[in-house]
Amino acid sequence: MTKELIRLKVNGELREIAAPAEKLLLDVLREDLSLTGSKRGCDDSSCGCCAVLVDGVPMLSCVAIASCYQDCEIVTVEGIAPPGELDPVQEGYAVAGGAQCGYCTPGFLIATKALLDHNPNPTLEEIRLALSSNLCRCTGYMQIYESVKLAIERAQAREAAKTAPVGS
Amino acid sequence: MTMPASRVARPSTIEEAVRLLADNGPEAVIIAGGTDVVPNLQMKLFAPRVLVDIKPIRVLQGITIAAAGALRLGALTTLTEIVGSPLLQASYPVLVSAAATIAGPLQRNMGTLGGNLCLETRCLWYNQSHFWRKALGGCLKKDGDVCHVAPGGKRCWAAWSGDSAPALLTLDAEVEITGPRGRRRLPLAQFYLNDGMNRIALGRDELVTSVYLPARTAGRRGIYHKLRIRDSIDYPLAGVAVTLEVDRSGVCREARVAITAVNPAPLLVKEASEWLVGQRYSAELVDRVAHAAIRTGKPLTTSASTPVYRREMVRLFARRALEEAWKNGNA
Amino acid sequence: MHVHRIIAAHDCGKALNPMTVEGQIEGSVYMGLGQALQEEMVWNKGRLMNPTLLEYRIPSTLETPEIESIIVESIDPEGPFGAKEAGEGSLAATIPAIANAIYDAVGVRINTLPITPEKILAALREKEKQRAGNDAPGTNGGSR
Repeated sequence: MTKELIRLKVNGELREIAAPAEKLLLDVLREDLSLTGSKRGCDDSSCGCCAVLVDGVPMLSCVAIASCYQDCEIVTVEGIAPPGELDPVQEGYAVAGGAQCGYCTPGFLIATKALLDHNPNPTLEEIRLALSSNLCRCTGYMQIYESVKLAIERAQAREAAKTAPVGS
Repeated sequence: MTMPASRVARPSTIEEAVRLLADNGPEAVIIAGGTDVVPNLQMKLFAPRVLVDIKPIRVLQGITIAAAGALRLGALTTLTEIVGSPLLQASYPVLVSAAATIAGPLQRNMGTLGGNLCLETRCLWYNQSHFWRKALGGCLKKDGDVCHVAPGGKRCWAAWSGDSAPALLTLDAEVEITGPRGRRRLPLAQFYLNDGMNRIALGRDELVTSVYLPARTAGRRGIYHKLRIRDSIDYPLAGVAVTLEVDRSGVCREARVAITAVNPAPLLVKEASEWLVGQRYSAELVDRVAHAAIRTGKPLTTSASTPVYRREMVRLFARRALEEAWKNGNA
Repeated sequence: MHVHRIIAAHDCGKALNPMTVEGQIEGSVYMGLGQALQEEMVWNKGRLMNPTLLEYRIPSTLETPEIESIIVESIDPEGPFGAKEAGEGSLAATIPAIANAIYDAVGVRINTLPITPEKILAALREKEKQRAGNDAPGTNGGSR
């Protein structure tokens, strides 16, 4: 097996690995970079568990060849908030029951993050559509919608706190 | 499943890509979004030595105005870009209507127009893992000599299962292909060969570079209907695209009907223009065209729904799409 | 075919974690919905024809309707802290509920799963044929 040097920008860091040229981004993330948040669900681009942000756009890492994404900023579920902190999206899912078995959750977090980055206050229909590439076997999606709504509230609360006058 | 070992080439110009394809012949496979090719590679449906990633070729991106008011869509235009383009929404609504049904939002972020036009044909007996196919000794299309859909036949019936092509057929779109001998343009209808084994008129050393939408079909009313079991992610089990130009007095001036996923190619329903042009709306006329659509479609047991039901839905969708386009404009 | 809304009430004994109980009910309803309408393992001479998530179609967000869950609390003296199950009961009830809703809407009974539009169309045609046959004066069609 011939290996090549592959340089990837993942979660804000430049990572260099030696891997076969055809290795899939999902496998590089999980095996070479130990970022096991992204999951392999289907192998044929139909479940959304492996979603990552590529230059801010949610994509399926199970059908992306890692060496073809060397010029891109990749963000995995591990990187949507700084270490030790939670993004409002993560808080929403943690508090409102958006995760049951948790296998699909990283994909949902990424798809939700991308949605709210572009549209901070989506309607239920917009949420449904944005999450329609992600399959969940446990929740029936209802508590996922609740989680997204909570994430919106938490994000708004954080914004409000940021703009509030200091002191008092 | 695993990827076959291969070299990955990343040309940044069309010329470089064509040279790579010419040098490597059948050993090269073009990859862009990867949503169709990568699963197929993992199923060992192809065994390339070189993967030619065309994403770095900038000139293949985006939607631009070309000569004579035509619209040029670069082969790398993503399906998400098509769905969100105000220009296409206003002028070529049938294409937006069709692109919005392709897979789901994440697949559309990756999938490209060129890739969607060059999709591999699909069949329950072909789109399976290597392990699964090996147990059967393969099929006519891959590694075998028997067709499990039509035993005894020597023709492959794998269904061409894309959504954008039928819409583009109703817009008289042209596809631009670049190869070692330069560029050529041909009507999209001639691009598809209606053979499950050899689906498109694209040489091993050629690349689809753009799609052109003529100015004369801009503003046509149009709509696409798709049969699928799940409202997201699924490939079409049948699909019908319709465009109409209706004058102020309600007389049809131009008409196209195209069907997909029920043959090894997306096909125009030949009788549609002939019968509809010069006519006013009537339920009987629409029924007659819908019946012609059924006769054009020859679905076999290549997918989840039965051929009987898919034919039935071709009729229903053709009738419904014609009614909507005629009565409501861009429904 | 489109399911607009599903309401499920479930006796779970003592609800130890009400949010999780609701999640379990909704998830069960969802699985029942899938089984009722679109999930099917298709076999051909011992071979599974749809071994992937692309072809074995669990519902996406777009077909899954609003699911309203109602916790019916009771105390089960045999269960831990008075709890019963909250995992699968709602699944079983969803399938006949959907089959009955279809009968209520269009008047045909489908008794094999999944209940596809194709099966409903065939049943409606069959019913029409029978009605045409029974349309002699004095009969009432005889549908139950």
